[in-house]
Amino acid sequence: MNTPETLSPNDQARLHAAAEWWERLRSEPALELSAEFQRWVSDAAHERAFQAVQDTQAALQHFSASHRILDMRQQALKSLKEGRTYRHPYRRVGLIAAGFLVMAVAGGGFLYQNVFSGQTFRTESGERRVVALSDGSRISLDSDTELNANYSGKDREITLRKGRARFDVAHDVTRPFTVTAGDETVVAVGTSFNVERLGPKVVVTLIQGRVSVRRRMQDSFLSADHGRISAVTLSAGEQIAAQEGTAPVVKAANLDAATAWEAGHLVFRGEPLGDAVAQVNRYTENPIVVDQSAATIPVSGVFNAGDVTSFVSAITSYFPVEATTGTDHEIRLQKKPT
Amino acid sequence: MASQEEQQATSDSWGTLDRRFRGPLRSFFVRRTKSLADAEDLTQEVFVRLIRNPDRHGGTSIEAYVFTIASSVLRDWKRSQLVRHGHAHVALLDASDAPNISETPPALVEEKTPERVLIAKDALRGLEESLNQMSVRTRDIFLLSRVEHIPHREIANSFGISISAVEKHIIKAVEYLAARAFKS
Repeated sequence: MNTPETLSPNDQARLHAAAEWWERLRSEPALELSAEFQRWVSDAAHERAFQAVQDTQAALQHFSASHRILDMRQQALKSLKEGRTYRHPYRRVGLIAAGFLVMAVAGGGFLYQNVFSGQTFRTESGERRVVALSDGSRISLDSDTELNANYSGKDREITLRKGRARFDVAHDVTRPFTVTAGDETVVAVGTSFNVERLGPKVVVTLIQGRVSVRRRMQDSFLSADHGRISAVTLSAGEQIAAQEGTAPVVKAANLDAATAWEAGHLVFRGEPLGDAVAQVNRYTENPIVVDQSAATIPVSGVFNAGDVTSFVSAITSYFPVEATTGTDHEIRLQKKPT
Repeated sequence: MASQEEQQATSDSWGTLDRRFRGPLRSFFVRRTKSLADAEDLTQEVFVRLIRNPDRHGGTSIEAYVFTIASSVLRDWKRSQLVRHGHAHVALLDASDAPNISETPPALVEEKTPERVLIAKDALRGLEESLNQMSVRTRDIFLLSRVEHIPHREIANSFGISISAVEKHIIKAVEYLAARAFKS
């Protein structure tokens, strides 16, 4: 079994060069067509080394949710967090205390049930996490997200309390997989989709497979027969935005944009500034405040999640928006006076 | 109607484009489709699209423009492969520990045969072994960057090392994974 050390010095050098090229091409993909890369890769041994890098990296992505690799990923995320904790011991204590407070305040009835039946997964702001459930389904939690997974012999129920998550559902016809967010329930059949809570709004994007989205009855006396429950079936690539009191809207989704958060990017195409900022705020502990005057201004762009400064400077240079910083370092966005 | 001069200019740059990019494009596609025939077709498709939109590259370099077209041709091809092999594909995924559905490389989208399942299992075992052979720190940093998409700066801060040290760990890990597949 080869490791770099067991290769001949020449092969080690080739492999090292291939890995370096791979890294350069990651940040500048078009270089793959450059004369410089072509010259290097025209050597057959170089080409083989590069192909080995490319194939194994593709295989890693392919198998990134297999059990043992998932364990390694959890361990890596833990190391990352421990490094951070070491630097910010107080912050962490504060967050844990806040967590208990929420549980204590919300201690009664329905929520109590949910917290103590099934498993709760949550991420802090700036943190992302992937969990594998016992049936092989996989949930990717975006920053500042909380959900509960309740599995029984009959069904698999997920409740998204806040934030955004992507679900890759293991096929099991005997146990339906449902995700409830606010009043909307998504029923999935072996499929992959995104669910996001943006304030009062719930956005469901279907990446692959088939789901139906149902609105929970507002009034328990009304039954489906009265036509008060809307059930909408989505096809791959479609997105539904639903909000209490308005009819749900189905539109074609840009899947690259809808799944970009998993790669650490936020992509906006004409979204209202208010919605965009709600997404940006998920990655920071000092949320940006949007004045009512600017909330509906449509904005576009691609941003690195967590880079609030660049977001604010881009938004204020390209859109009719200005930023003011309060004494407590709070950033406020409002419409530029005309 | 383009004047004769303009047509002359276009066909000149056309010849240049062909000479400059046909070879690189072919190998770009061979590396990803593992099929010479598919690579020829896809290369042709890039040129067809280039003819249709000869100068849409605005401010970007011609290289970046051709690359963008090539990437979109490849994306369409992958999608058509998924549709064609959709069911077999899902079956293969079932057999191999529920991998990430959206990032399946085209090479693994194939008919499900016992050999294929074995190959997939072998690949997974090899991957796990390689990941276990590198140091824990290298593996942590590599997975954080490549699978969790955590920015290098954040990794560097958390581990108390420089960004260039983070990059060195990643390259080391890439070498470990590739060493197994690299036969000289």
